[in-house]
Amino acid sequence: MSTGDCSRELFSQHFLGPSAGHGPVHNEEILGLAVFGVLRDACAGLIPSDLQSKRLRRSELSVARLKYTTRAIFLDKVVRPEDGNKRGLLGIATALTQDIRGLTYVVEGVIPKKSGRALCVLDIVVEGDYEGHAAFGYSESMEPLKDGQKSRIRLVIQNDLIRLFGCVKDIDKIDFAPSLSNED
Amino acid sequence: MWANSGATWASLAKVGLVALSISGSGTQALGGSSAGREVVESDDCPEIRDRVTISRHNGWTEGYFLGAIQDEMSSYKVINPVTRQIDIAFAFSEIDSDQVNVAIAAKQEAVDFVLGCGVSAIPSVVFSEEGAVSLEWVQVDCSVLVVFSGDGVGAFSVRRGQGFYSSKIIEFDLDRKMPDILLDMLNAL
Repeated sequence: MSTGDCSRELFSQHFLGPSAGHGPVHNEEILGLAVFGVLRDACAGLIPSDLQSKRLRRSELSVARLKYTTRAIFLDKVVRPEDGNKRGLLGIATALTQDIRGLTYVVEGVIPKKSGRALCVLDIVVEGDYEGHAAFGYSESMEPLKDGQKSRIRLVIQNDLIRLFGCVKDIDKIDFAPSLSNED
Repeated sequence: MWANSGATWASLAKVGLVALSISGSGTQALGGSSAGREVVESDDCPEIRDRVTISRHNGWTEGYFLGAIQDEMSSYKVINPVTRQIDIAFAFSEIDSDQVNVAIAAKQEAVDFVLGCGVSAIPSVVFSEEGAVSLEWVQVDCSVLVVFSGDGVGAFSVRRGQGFYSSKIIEFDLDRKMPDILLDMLNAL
């Protein structure tokens, strides 16, 4: 898959510099998206609001790199802050990084045809984040598109993402990292 | 003469299909869905040809609602179930405050599209925070997604099997003839 549309994927986005953290997200990593809210049929999968469109636009939709995130860290850094907002954890939806990176859009019916990577997955860690934090969002390739076309494509991609993540799983069914030597 | 008030009619129309009875003294909204008639946006249908249930002295027979009471009928909004679904989704969506006008335009495009192609299968409707709206008809083998964003251009995609919609998005000008492939897909629903 091309990285041209996602130049920031190649380098660590850790706030302490390129040598800090776990480095760029590998294609084989499984990402966990925490799903909060009122009870619903979890197996129906995500609903559009779970994907937080604004965050997707800013490449800030947070996910946990499960390989580097223990259950304790997940509960402390992801779930607990939301408990304060009275939003209970419904479950976790997971996806393989390479599947997210593999989503591409092709727009026909326009000249020239438009195409590109749909989403970029970044190892963004800002101060206060846990080390297994990552985020993803719409790719840079959409920037030159007109607003109307961009919003149409984004809605199509959002639909595909819901399908890609599939069912929301119970936290007990998630394979978190075993305890890490240097937690947090 | 309409026996029921407009408010009553509107409330009946909101909940779904309605039946009309025509008696010597005029027409009355009865409510209920037993008649199973197709409902249309009267404003968008200059010649109302709905099949309605007409009350006769000795029970119910099927007939056509035409002519003399058309003018009165046109002042009442009868809701198409697909456009109603769009209205409901719009009402419950979170849309960025600076994108509300986009959403209103996109919603109108979706409504015009639905009325234009005559699709009656109920889609799943989603408005994005940016104001775009998608209509999705999910089927086992083949699903259809149509998207509008208020700029006079629509886009559709067909998903088969394990594929994704984004792999082939086809844009079309809403002022022109709808793509045949899309029309065929919708007619087959």
